[in-house]
Amino acid sequence: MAGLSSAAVQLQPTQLDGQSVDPNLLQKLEEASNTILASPSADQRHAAEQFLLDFRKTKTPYTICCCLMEQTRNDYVIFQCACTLKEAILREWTQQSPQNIHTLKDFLMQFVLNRPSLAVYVREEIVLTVAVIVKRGTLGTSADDRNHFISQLTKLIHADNGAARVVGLSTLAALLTEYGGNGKGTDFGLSWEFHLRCKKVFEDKELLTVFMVLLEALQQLAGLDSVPADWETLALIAKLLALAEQILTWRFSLPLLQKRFLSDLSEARWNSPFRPPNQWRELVVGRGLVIHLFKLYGHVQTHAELAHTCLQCLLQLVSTTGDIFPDHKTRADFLSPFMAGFLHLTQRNTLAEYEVLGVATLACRLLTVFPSKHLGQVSSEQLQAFLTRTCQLTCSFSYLAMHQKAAEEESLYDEGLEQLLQMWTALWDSRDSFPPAAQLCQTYTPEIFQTYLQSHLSAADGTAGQAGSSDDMEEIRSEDEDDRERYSAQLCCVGLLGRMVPSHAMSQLTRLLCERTSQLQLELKNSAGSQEQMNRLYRLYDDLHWLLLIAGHFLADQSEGEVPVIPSELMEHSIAQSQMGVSEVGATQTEMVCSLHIDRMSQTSNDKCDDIVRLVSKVFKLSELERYAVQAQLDPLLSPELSRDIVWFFQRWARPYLLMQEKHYPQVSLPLACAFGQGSDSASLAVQTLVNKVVSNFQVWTSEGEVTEDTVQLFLTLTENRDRCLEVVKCEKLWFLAMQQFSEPFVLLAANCRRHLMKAVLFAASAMSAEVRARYWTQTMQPLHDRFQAMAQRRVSGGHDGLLQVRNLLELLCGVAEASRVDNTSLVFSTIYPRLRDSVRLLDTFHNYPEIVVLVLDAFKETITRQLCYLSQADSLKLYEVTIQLIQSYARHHGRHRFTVDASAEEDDFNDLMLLLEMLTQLTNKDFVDFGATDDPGAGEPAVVPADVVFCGLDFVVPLMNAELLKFPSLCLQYFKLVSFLCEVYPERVPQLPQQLFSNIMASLQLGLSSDYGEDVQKLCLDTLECLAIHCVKSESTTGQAYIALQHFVQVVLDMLVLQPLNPDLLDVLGETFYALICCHQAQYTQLVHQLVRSQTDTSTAERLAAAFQRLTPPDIPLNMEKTHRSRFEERLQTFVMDVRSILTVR
Amino acid sequence: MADDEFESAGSGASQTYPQQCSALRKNGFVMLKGHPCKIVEMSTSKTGKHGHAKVHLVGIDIFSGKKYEDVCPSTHNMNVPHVTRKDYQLTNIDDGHMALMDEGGEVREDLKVPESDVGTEIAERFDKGEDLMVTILKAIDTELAIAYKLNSEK
Repeated sequence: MAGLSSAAVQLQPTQLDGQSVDPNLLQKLEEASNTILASPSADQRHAAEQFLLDFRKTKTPYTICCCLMEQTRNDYVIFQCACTLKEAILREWTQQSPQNIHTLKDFLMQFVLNRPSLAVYVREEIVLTVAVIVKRGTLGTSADDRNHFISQLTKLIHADNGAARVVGLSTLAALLTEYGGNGKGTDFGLSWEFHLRCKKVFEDKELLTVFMVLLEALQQLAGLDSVPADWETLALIAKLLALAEQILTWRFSLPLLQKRFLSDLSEARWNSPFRPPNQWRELVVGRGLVIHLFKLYGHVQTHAELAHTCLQCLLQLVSTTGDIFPDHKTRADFLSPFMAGFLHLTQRNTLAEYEVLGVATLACRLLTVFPSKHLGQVSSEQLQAFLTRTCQLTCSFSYLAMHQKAAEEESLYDEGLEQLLQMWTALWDSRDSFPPAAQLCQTYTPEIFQTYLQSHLSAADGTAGQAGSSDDMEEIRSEDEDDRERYSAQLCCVGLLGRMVPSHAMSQLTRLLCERTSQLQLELKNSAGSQEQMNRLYRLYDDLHWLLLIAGHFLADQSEGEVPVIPSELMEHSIAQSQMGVSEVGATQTEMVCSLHIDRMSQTSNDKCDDIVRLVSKVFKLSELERYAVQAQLDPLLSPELSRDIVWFFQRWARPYLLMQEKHYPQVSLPLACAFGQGSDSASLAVQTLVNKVVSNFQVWTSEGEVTEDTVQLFLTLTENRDRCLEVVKCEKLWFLAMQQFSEPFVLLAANCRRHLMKAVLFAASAMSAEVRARYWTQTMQPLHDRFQAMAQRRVSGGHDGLLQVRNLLELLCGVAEASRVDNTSLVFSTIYPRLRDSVRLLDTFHNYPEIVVLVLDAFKETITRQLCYLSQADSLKLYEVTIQLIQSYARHHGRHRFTVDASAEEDDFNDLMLLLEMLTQLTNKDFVDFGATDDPGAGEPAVVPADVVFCGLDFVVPLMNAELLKFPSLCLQYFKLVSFLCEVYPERVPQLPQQLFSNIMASLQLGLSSDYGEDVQKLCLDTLECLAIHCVKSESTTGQAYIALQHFVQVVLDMLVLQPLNPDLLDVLGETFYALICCHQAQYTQLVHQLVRSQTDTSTAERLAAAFQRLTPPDIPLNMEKTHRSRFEERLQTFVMDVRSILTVR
Repeated sequence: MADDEFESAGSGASQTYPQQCSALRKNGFVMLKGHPCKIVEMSTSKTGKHGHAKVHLVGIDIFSGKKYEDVCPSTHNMNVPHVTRKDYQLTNIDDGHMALMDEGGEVREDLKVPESDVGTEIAERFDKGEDLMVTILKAIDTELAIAYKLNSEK
């Protein structure tokens, strides 16, 4: 780079023509800059900012800016000049000669180099401007220019001058940001295609060079014995590492996906693996990059930030994948230095806290990224050394995670521990493809499992903090996550770890549970209630809490939507035990039965009992102990949290084990089947015990919402499944639960809990014989029936005495609706229908009480959601009619304009509207999904169809939905969902709506598209427009309100496509909608195109624009709804949007 | 209506009823520090992981709009005021007092137009000649207009 000064910048003399440079410009700029930096008054700031903004808009500012930069010593002025140059060169690129551009670039580089004392932000802005110039020229200039530039940068980096090296590295980093970012960083005002083509050119040619430069620099640094700790060196390393991270996270363009780059724009995923092309192999694999990075890590590990970046580089590097590895040998060779580096890195006694997560993630990735079947390629000594080290780390993190808790909420050790635990489970899962994994896991996991247990137990057996300290007695709010949620990932892994060594895990858990239960029994027997005793109890509860959580995760998995099964490891263990004669059926059964009888509980454990059964029986003992304590009115001493844990454990265990389905397993353990399986006495007894537990919990814990909710979930688990339910219906207590819904303690339960209880009680009926069921149903429902009748007849004018009762009745009615299943539809409907009719009357009476209104609407919504699709035509008709009555009554009482929204309003205040919208949306579903029988095939069209009800509701709802209400996100979404559903299902009816209503809907669509309601709402609005437009085209309607209203939207959607900021995720739906709209309004479209083209001042732009439209809708292709035309249009649209945006966004 | 004019000392017992704290819910009513309040926030907490639940209540006095808070064990009973709402047709506004007619045609003139947004709107709309129904909320012997709706739709 030759020495340049502003005088040497050869600019065209004409450039200054017509512009008079203010001789005091520099002074004014300096003043404005000083003003901004000196905390000015609002007016002063505004004036100064305005001045600078105007300056930034200067046309052809090149000479002026260069002169100013040379003359001033004010960094901020230099910064402003650099910004001005960047914006101008992008704006006026095509008017500048290559020579000029080249000169400007050289000037800027030289300027930065000559001024090592520039503030960092100024330097970065200048090199950014240089990078922007280089990138902007990518497609126009030959590669030589860039090569030359990069080799100049290389020289800088290798120079013996710290400042120059920093400039070199900064410039490279800016280049990578500009090229890699798809134009996200700087406003080029160019199409994405431009950015992607630049990126491709750069990564094909220069990226590798940059990588080589970087590698050399790293090598050099890593080769040093120690790194001087002066800030200059550290800044240099920071730059190098940041650059390395940029390259390692580079998303290489994949040739196959080139066409789909539009969707590629929707934000880079940070975690995508490093996938370099195979030309990079030599550099990535062959030159000790990994070793250098680890060495460098050794130099920087005491600097938190540098260490972090370095670890990120290593993490990204270990994810390397793709063509770069021709075979598994290469891959294993790549892995080996990683393991060695990892061992070296972790040989220190303690890791700093900032290293914990990175190091743990590195270990996890090492085993998860590498295909497990080739783990055999790694030398077994190295693998063992690696696992021994990670085992130590896992144990130490497990300990530290618990001990660090008091100090910090979010512990990094917890996160690190999670990563390491995941590594172990990944290793275990690979045992099919890499058999030694099983043996390896079994060697290390006992220690880990043991340490995890100990970390959570109090002294004597464990190392957890002493309870009773101030930390343990802090206030815990119900919104805070409980341990079950907070540690769910950890607990799942620890459960899996336990299954690797089932014998060890179960003996530990069983022994500890047994000991703690005995201690608890003793404490409760001699309850004094002293503070000292409370502390001891607290410790016991916490130990039991963790033991149950771990045991629950160990025994069973959470299964959503899948058939819950007993984990194969445990089933196999149980089978093996029984085959070896370690366990016996008789002994197992005795043990199980004993645990269910308090008077036989003291009997000593039987040696020949199955391990799983023994563990479960200990929990039953604990549960029964708690139940007796409750009966002895010791509940003030008990822990509600432990109560939750117990029922949670049973729920988790019961799903796969209790009355297990033998057909799900290739082989079944006999002792297990005899203790828990179908037809076993102990299983039947267990169900009874659990039902008693449910009742007991409801009686004592009404004030603990979380306990009763977990309890009712257990009850649902028992009644949902037919086999278990058959046992439930044999319990006397079931009838008690069913009949006592209107007395204490059940009336004290939380609303949700009452609903679920009602649901479970009704589920139970499905397992009864027809005769018993009829009796049961009547007895359960009679009180509800009677009270409803009484209430509806009394017609009290909303007195308070009725209020509570009505609320109770409606809660239960919602529970009845929730109990709808395909097997009880008609029974539930015959029960609920008369009550719905009563409810309409109740709504009339209690219309001034929002809590009642909401419940009535909820009962209708639940019934419609859960029942309608199964109802016969006749029953559906009844439901429609009563729903119309409901809507009418609701509308009558709520008048118009009720919803004035004041500032303090919350979304909750509009629950009634929300429910109404949901209900209407659900109604339209009947026209999608209908399993109901038609009573009489010859009956013809029914008198009322869902649409009638929906439109009746719409008439009322739409006028209410003003812009204020639509600001509430879920209300807004639900409203537009309803509208789009309607237009999709009844496109022929919507245009027939009354004029006022219809124009309200269209106005709300306009609002939905133009407001900031989010992508989902915009999508729904566009869908709605498309449906309407398609209907217009198909019905060849050229009059009518829909046709007329749609005309306006042609422009709205066109603007969204070409002018407004585009959300790539919306492009498809925008295209579909636009096509339907222009098919419908071809003349309008043509006119808009003319307008847009004519409005361009620049003729070449106008021509290009016209051509782009010509390509989008060639005159010889008809605009109609044929599928081929539609899909071809969408292809053309993508190109069109890019073309037009590249033209129109140039500023 | 005459009864409402008097301070009903000592009759508080019948104006409220006890309810277990855990059975209260948001948007319901409760007496906080002797004031009838609408519950605007309700949350539970416990002291330590194994502690028993306590309920935190934040309420807004129905009439004065002042905020009150209370914490109590969730097993305790709290007093809940009997709250009723009744609709009247607004027939006149005279010197800040509303003339209200109930379903039976009986007219009362003892209630003022409230000094709130609702009150301002009621007055404005009444001046425009709109036919209004006004909802009067009553609790602990105090009454207040809390809402209105247009009667024309009926």
